Amino acid sequence: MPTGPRVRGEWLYRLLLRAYPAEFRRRFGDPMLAAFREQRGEPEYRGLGGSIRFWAEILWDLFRTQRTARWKYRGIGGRAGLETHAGAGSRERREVRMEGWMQDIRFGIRTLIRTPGFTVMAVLTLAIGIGSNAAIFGVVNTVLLQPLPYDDADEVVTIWSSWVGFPKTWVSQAEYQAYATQVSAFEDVTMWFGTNATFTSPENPERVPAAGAMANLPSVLGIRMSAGRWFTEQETIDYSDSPSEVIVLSHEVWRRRYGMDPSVVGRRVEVNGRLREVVGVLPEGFRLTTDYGTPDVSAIFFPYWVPREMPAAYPRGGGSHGMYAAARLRAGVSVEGAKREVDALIARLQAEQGVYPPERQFEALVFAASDDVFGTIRPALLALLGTVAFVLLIACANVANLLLTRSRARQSEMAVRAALGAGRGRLARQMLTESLLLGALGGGLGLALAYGGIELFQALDPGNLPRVDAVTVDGVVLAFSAVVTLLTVLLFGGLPALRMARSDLQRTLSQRGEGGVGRSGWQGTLVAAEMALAVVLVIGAGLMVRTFEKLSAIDLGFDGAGVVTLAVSLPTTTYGSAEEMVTFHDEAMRRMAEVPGIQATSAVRLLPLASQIGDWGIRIENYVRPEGLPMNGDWQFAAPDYFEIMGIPMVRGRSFESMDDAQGVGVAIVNEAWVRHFFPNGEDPIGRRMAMRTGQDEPSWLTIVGVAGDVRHNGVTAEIKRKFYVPLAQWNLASGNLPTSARYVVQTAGDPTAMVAPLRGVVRDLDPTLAVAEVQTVDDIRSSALAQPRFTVVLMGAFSLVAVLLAMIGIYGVISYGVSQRTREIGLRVALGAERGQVVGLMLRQGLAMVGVGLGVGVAVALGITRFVESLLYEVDAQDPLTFLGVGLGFGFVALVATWLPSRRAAGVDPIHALKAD
Amino acid sequence: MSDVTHMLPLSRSLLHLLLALHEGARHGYAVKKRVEELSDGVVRMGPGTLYTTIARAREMGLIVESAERPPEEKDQAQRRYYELTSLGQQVLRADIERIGEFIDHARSAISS
Repeated sequence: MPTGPRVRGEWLYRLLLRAYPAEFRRRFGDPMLAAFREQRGEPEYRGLGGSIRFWAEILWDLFRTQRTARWKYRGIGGRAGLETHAGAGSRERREVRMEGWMQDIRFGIRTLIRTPGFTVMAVLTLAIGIGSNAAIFGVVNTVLLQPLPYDDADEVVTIWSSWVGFPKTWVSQAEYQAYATQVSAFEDVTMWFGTNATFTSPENPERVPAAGAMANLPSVLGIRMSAGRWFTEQETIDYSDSPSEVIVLSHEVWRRRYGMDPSVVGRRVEVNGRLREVVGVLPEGFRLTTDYGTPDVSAIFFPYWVPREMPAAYPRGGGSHGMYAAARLRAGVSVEGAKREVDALIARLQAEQGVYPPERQFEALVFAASDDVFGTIRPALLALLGTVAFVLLIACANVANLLLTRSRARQSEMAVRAALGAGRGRLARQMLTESLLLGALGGGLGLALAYGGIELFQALDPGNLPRVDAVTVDGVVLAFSAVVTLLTVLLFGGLPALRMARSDLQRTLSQRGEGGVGRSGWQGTLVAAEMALAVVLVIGAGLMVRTFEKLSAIDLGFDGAGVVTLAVSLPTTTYGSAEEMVTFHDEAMRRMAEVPGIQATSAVRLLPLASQIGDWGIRIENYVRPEGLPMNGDWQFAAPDYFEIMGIPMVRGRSFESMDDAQGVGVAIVNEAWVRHFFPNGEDPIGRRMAMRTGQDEPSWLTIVGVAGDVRHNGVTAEIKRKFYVPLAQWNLASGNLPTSARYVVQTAGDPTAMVAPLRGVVRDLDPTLAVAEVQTVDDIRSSALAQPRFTVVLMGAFSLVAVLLAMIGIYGVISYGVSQRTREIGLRVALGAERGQVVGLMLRQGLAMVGVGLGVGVAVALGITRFVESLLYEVDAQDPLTFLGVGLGFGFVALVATWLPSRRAAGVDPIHALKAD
Repeated sequence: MSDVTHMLPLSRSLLHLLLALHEGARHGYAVKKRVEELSDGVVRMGPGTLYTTIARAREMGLIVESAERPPEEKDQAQRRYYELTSLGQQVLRADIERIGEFIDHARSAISS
């Protein structure tokens, strides 16, 4: 045995060396292994490409020379019969076995080449099964199974608030202070908020998502900086007093804008119109938990500080909610334990100070960070994984059937070989080798399909799939595919091999032609099983289709065809007053309207379906507040023509007009939900006055001039909230805030995307430092809101179609085989006077029995397991009778056709011909 | 000199093996390296090709295992060295002669 360090893959080469005769191996095995090692170490074989070349050369070398060696050392031809090796010594026998494998493989290859139709069919079927599993597993592996990029990520939890109408929302400062100081389960708690920022350099202005985050963010999440450092506590305190000028960049923006130049750390760059020092760069791939499942990943981080001490007087309702929170659990504490402690804390605060109005049903939520990030997509992906597993099982059943059919056809051949002395085990092994070859071919092609499939998957990206861009066919996926392939081979190849080992070959030989078909016992079972599997999948897909139908039918409350939108945010450094901002927005809208092909322009604070709106406490003049009724509403500002351009109907009154400017009378428009909330008894809201600045004695009153139709704002299926709109020009007057950022909504005559460039040009001409962001059409917004259900329905639909196709091929194959095997019987029946119809009926009955059993079992199984996809359904029962009935009928019909087509051939049997044939 | 023509022509790997050993005793992997060098990488010798060729050359009596080894490699006890026998020398020469003649004929055939 050669000494020296082992190299990678050596074990495989040792194994492969067994292909050489023992005598040759005894003499040259060690030097060959040494040569293998040395060659492995050559620089030209480094890296992945090198490794592939290395193994290709080694295998070719082995393949070419093992026969020469055998020829020299055994003195018999490599093609010696399969059956000549009985009775050798044990060492010899091992030798023979190894050689036998090589023969089996060569023989198997020849057999597969001889029956190209069978081979192509089987390999394609397997490739579809294995490929779809590899692709979906690749996605699941990257998206769900890899931990978040934090140290000890399982100790990280996210904290949210929840109350009536807000199932999962922000945390307030007071709540943070309570969690950080009163909950022992948390080692530390941190907060951040989402915002936007603009790189305001004239050569390359860019608007990017940003976040303000506390000094303890890296320690709570468990991250190490890529370059430089994070904010110090002092920097965050300074920032809260008067904005200090430090920022941290994401790795992605560091690479994209600065080519990963390390000297960026310490450099001052212009952000939001002011020079700020970059103190550090976050690690590659880092994301806040709130940055998953969204294309908007925070690129700039600002310091943010809140005092840690428990507030002396806990604000009523918890105060203003607007922050995201995460915590690191103390070692050994579970998420449930932390949640219990938080619940106890809230209950105590409630008992001692009664801070949360009971009707709001406040609750603090604690999630494991990975559940929070992946929770919404997990059911869909797991359903898909289940679906492809079913497809693979169906593929296995189909290939097993093909093999069984073929093994019958080959029974004579096998019998002859058995008569010549080959043992049954030996023949079974030969069949298993062929199955392995099929599996290897199917697996290889399947991997190629998986590559393509993953690309397709990424193209279909529902937009909320975390990390989908990182999905590749990696070592784990390769290993998974290899295991799946092996299991598949055992599944589809095991049965025919077993049958071979058991069958009575002598009898077969003596009754050739009859073939001992056994009336397709096993085949029938297999076909019924794949029918059942396919039925389950189609029912699953049917439920998704119905869900998608229901979702698509939801009235969103707006239309917006041909409307393109773009967002602009005005930095307060250049636009110091509301007047300047309104002037800019007005001028931008006026100039956009002059662009040829533009019909109208307007602006709004937040677009429907594209972002959440917070609520704002309001006051209504001369209003008697019913006990416990929350006085608030979602807030919007909008420019004239907004409702018309977006196709939001005015139910009553009028929409905003150009006279509703800073000099005009303050006005507001409310939505129908607002009217239902505050005036449930049908009183007329028009002419009533409301105010946003509730604290003032004489606030800026806004006269309600119109009621707008309800718009689905927070999601297609989310509850519609009460909402009010204030004219853009009166926003400052009404709220005291500045209309810094606005989304322009532009009605185009033709292709909206073609108008993007000139519209951007308008903004650039007005102020070259401004970045235009969120350019999208309203149609895009609408379609991406349904992206996830569409994604689920498309993939599950596609896979179940494949399943049906495979199942139909299965039944077609079995019936036509049955017809061909029973030609004699049919001929006899026809000769004895049976009607053609009766003969066809005979074949049909056989098929329909399989279909019936498959359909019955499939429906029963589906009834049992569709509840697992319940969370993916919308207003469709998991046992929706319409879907079950529709699928049953449709499937039954297709199966009938697949049975009838080959059955028809029975009628064509010529009795004379059939009886003569023997 | 015995008649060696019945051994000719030599296979490509055999010819290269003899050529590499013509310069002196070498161990297996060194032969491989030298062959690849001499042939500008055209002749590739994987472990299998290398040792089936060596086995064949030994059987034909063209090479033998060598007791001799360069002093700097004395410690590599497990390495086996090979050298040409006088028959090997003869066959190598004869084959090169044969190739030379062939090339001469071929040249004159295509130039005329």
